[in-house]
Amino acid sequence: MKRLMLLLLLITALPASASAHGGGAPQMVNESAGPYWVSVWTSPEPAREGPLHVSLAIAQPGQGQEQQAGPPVLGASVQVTLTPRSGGFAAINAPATNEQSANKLFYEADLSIPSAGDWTVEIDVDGAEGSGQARFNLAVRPAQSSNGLLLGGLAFVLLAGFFLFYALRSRHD
Amino acid sequence: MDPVIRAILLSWEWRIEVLIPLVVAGVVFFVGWRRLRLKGRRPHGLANGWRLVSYWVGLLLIGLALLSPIDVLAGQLFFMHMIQHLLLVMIVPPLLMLANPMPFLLWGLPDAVRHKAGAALSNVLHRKSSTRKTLRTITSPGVAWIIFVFVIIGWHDPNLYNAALRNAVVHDLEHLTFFGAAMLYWWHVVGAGPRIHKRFSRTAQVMYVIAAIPPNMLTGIAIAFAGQVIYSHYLSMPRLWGIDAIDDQTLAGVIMWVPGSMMYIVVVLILTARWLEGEERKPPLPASKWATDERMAAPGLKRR
Repeated sequence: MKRLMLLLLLITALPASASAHGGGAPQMVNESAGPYWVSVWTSPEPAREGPLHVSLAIAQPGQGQEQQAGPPVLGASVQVTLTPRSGGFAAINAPATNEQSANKLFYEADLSIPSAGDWTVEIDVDGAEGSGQARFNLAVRPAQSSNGLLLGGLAFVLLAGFFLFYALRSRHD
Repeated sequence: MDPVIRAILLSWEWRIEVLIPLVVAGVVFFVGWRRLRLKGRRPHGLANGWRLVSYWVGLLLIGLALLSPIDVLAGQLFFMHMIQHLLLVMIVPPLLMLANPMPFLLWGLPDAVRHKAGAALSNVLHRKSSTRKTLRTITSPGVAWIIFVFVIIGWHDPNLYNAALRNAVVHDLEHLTFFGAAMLYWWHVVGAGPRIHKRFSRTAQVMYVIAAIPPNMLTGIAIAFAGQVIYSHYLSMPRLWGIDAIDDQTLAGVIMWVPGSMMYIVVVLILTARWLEGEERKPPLPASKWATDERMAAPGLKRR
């Protein structure tokens, strides 16, 4: 039973969904890429050496004064390429697809950054309306040694333990 | 089919950390409900069929709110986010509480675990326990109302709301606090177990529900008539069906204001109907109690 409880706790604490759920840090908002408007979010925030999750919204250009994006563009071929600005590592790339995304109106890609430093992220879009390109710089920090979520979970368990201890003691008082 | 509609209908996110607790809760409740039903002397006692339906529908709606396209689109359309919050705050908690889940969940556990859990609960909720006193204070109706209103209004602060849309952990925290505060609030309205507070009178119950309408209504009105986009996150989203960010925000505010407030009014009507039903069930007073000369006199007249 204890093992089952531990397993349930571990599953509940799984941070895996964090990358697929929620936007992340906005890197580009409604930037023009040929005939498209592109918005890009990355997680974790800040970007660190190791896994990087990239979410993209590809939309038709917006109209009106508010400059809001138009309807989403689906089924385009989208490539995400990371190049180190100081050299030393080869460029890494991955396709971003609607299928990989929980929200099928978005495109998502998973990459692994081998080193901290400044990187250039290039987005290539090829769709029915034509092709376009956009890029932005990404500052990548060294990998984190401790996990905040795990520490938070530990603090919660300790608090719950104290509460239980206090509750059991209060009966004897 | 329109590709956008197709993409939306396919946008389900099977989050294991949501699915497993829902399935476990549903199964444990069913096992406990079945055990208590078999034990019950009356066929329609505590383990009523409607309690099981109410609990399961509540769990299904949590799944719908957190796993279906409603959740996926919540980051893209503000009004969809509002529908998700209404489900988690105003529909699911009363359904779960109406089922009075505590005894069923306890009886759904294996015997050894049930005995331990029961002992731990009785330690905590024992009449003389200081923990019970603390719990009574921090979960009193007044505190529950303040927490509920504070959580609902607080999360609509632009910085907090944008942070929730940007960070998945903050977003989950938002949903957990919404749900937790709502469960606490509806616990007092429904009167589900464990009962550690004095029972509400019908009038107090109705007033308690009515008191939640103005904060909800005013927040909805403020959002609906803001005039400019409050949550900048939605400006970066591709727009669906020609609904721009400001129309989306107006729609979200109206949903919070009108259907959101209507939920409370429906509950007030149900409580009032139950109250009147209770009055009708009371046996009539014997004639000796009211058919006296004094009581038969017209109001304001004194019989000499």
